[in-house]
This record gives sequence, structure tokens and C-alpha cells, in this order.
Amino acid sequence: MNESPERRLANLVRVSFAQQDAAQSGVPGFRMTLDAAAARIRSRRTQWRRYTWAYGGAMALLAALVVLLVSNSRTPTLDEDLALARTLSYEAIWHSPSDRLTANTESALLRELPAMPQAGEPQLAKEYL
Amino acid sequence: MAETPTLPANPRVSVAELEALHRDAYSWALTRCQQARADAADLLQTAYARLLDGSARFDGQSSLRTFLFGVIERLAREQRRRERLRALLLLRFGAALEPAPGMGVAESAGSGEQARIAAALQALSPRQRGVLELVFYRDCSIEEAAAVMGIPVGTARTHYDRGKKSLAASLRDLT
Repeated sequence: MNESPERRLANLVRVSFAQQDAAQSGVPGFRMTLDAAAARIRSRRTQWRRYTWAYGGAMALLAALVVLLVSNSRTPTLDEDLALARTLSYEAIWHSPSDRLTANTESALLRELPAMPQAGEPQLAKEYL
Repeated sequence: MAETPTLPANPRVSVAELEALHRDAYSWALTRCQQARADAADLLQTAYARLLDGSARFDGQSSLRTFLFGVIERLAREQRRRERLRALLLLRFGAALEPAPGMGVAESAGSGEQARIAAALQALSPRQRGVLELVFYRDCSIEEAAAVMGIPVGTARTHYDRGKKSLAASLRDLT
């Protein structure tokens, strides 16, 4: 019986692939492959969790650092400064104001305290504050 | 009647059905990896992992075999793309390229005739070879081959015709 060239070609291809298949010994076991796939997923999840924690921790640390830097470098508002000044003692305000207070606050305080207390009259200023 | 166990993330995939397809799937993975066994085993493992974690979901619109072959094909394509990129980077940085394992004419080509057929098949583009393998060897229709290869049916038909013509031209005296 004569085969058509197309059928003959299909047969040749089929035989070629079949021979390649037959030459391959040792198909990995189904259960083994499935278990390995499951183990791969588990390990990926563990790794992902680890990365997430590490990343989250690093980000939180960075955020804390930024907050710290920003809060330290920020010029306090006048209200904040005045609030601070009011908590300070008379000595702190009048004897070393520039250490703790900004120039703005100093002038604001001076406006609040028009009368410069004289030496020996600390109570007056305290009352005023 | 006891229910057949299915994959939790893929309730339409029964474990028994998957097991029945295992050998065929490995063989398909092998041809997708140019007969490199370790790569094929790894590819199949990755495909199963996709089924297990639900990132490849079987909706029952095609046969499980078509779906599984499609997953393997997609993964193999991704792998080939990564390898090409890696080769490109290695070339760019001047490193010598090592040939991938199992590349070239199939190792199993024994007789002269078989070696010629294997060489003619290797000379085809991966898509042409894939479509011809699916249609001639794995008894898929062109529509199924298209679904597996992730290409439109018309394109699959073109690959099929061109592949066939190219093979017929190289093996003229055998056909």
C-alpha cells in the first residue's frame, strides 16, 4: 500500500519523537515531583515572609530615623517656644535664653515682659510668666 | 462514592488525572528543554507548583492535558527568554558563553535516517517544531496545539504548514 507523502512525513516525525522518548529513561516520579513542588512553594513563602519582615523592619527603622532627624532639625514654632519658655525657670529665660530659645521667641518674650526685672526681683518675672 | 482528591487551589484538577498525564507532561517538558533532563524535571516541578499555588488555574474549558501542556510551554518560553537575556548580558560584558546542556541535535538520534530527521526538526523554529510535535506525535488538533502554544489558531495553522513544507523539503528523498 502506498502512503501519501504527508502521511509518510507524519510517520517519520512520530517515529523520531517516539525514539527520543524511548531513549529517555527515568521519568521522575509523580509524587516526588508534586512533593518537591509543594516544598518549593513552602520555601518560597517562608523566604517571602522573611524578606517582608526584614524589609518592614528596615523601613520602620528608616522612618524612625527620618522622624528623629526632622523633629530635631525643625525650628520650633513660636507657640511651642513660648510654651517651653513658660516651663523654664526665670534664670533660664533671663540668664541664658539663647541656649534654649530662638531669637523670635526671645523678642516675643520681651514683648510679653516689657519690664526687664531687676536683679534681685526674680519673683516678679516669675509671676508675670 | 469517595471523591477523588483534587488540588486545593485548583479544584478541577484531580490528582489521579494529573498522575495519568505525568509521563506525557515530562516528555513534553523534555522536548521544550531540548532534551535536558534536569531542566525538564525542574520545568515540570515549576508547572506543578503553579497548579498547587493556584497561579495557573484550570477552568475546564479545554482538556487537562491541553492546559498542562500550555502551562509547561509558557514556563519554557519564560525560561528561554531569561536565558536569551542572560546570554545577551554575558555577551555585553564579554564573558564566554557556555552552550546550554542538551542543545543541538537530539542525543538519541541513532541511525543515519533518524539523525537526519532529528536535525531537520531541530532546524525548525521552536514554534513550528512545537506545533508539529503536538499534531503529529501527541495527537492534538491544530486548535489544541494553538491553545497549548498560546497562539491564535490561524498562526498555529501557518506554523504547521510552513513546518511541514520545510521538513518535506529537507527530507525529500525520505518521503
